[in-house]
Amino acid sequence: MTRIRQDTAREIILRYAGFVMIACSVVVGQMLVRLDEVVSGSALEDTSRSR
Amino acid sequence: MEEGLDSVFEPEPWPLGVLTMIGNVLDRAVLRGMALAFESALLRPGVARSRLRAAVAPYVSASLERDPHQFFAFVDEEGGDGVHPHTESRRAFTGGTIVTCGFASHYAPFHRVVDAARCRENETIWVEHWMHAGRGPRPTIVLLHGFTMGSPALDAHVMMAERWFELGLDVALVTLPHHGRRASARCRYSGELFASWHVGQLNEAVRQSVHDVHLVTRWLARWRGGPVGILGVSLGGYIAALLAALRNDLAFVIPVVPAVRLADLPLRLLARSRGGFEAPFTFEELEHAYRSHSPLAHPLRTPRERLLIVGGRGDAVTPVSHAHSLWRHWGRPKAVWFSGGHIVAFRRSQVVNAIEAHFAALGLLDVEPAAAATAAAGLCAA
Repeated sequence: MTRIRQDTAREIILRYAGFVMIACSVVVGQMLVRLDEVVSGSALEDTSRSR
Repeated sequence: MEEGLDSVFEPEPWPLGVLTMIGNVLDRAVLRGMALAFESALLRPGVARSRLRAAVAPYVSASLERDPHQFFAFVDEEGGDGVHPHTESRRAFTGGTIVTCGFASHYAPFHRVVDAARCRENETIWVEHWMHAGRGPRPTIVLLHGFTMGSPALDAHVMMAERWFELGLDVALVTLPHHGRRASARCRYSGELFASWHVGQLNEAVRQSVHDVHLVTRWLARWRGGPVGILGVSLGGYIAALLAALRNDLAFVIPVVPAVRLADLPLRLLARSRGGFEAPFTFEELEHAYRSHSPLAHPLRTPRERLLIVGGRGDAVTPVSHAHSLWRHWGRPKAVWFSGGHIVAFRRSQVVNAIEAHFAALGLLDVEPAAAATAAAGLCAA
């Protein structure tokens, strides 16, 4: 993300805040998915042949 | 869950209902974040309202209204045998090779578009191609990312590329127009020039996406000799759904939490923004302007048994009612409605098992190269 088209500092800060909010939601969601998989025992089966 | 769908879906046991609710809450936080992140770029156009409204005209002609397939007439044209990508890099991977290659798009717009959307970066279609060792034909899964994505490393993780590769499929991660490396250096974020209040800009971006994926899938089918199918997430699901309507030779099409009504999201984002800007179009006007590329406006060409729709019951970004509309429009093909939302899929194993069962039913798993070629011939003949 770069400063273009005369974005104000406020707009840039809000944009970053928005992306941080999205990233946090994704990370929290993934943690809850893993937690649910551990609790429910529904983790994905490992299909790896080489590891 | 959207109102009115309760009678369609089997009720969830309460623990799963709680997970769906959590997914919905997280999606709402994402929508709030999107409203903040995209406000200056997407929600407040730097173009006069009169110009925005004038840009609709070429895409709502009586002729397109009668036959929206005209918008994608290029999918019926022969040729393309001379398409050759240039290889940028090649690296070894467990069981195969990952090749990053670029195709010249040569996309010709349906109508002249605003100059803002033109950029040199967008003229190359980047594909990260995961190929198994050996020269025999193999099934290939083409993965289409969502809006603002387009980084192959991240896309591969989100769309579980490694899992499909380990199942025996080749994988092709395609970067959609104006995303990732195809975004202009002037852009604030990946996909900025894709979504816009300017109807021409968005319509051409969707049309170019179909054009580019069509070109890559045809090349893959010729070059690898095996069946080729598509799995697309969100915006990628929209493009996948369109290709299912436009072509009959794809081995499978799996829209995952697909966008189906593009007019919906910008207006909902605007409703969550800090105010001060009035949308230049109503929902109905935008629906009309996007009709030529709505998957709901095109009859299905791909045989129904090759389709699988995956929707999140609590999806607040691309509501499950939209995926459900697509499911009805396609004559109720196989579908999985998982517990969770747009960004979180709880009990992923159910979704992954359903996709693997879908591949198995189509004869795409654990097949020797010769058998894959036979399967490809059968799929193409249907």
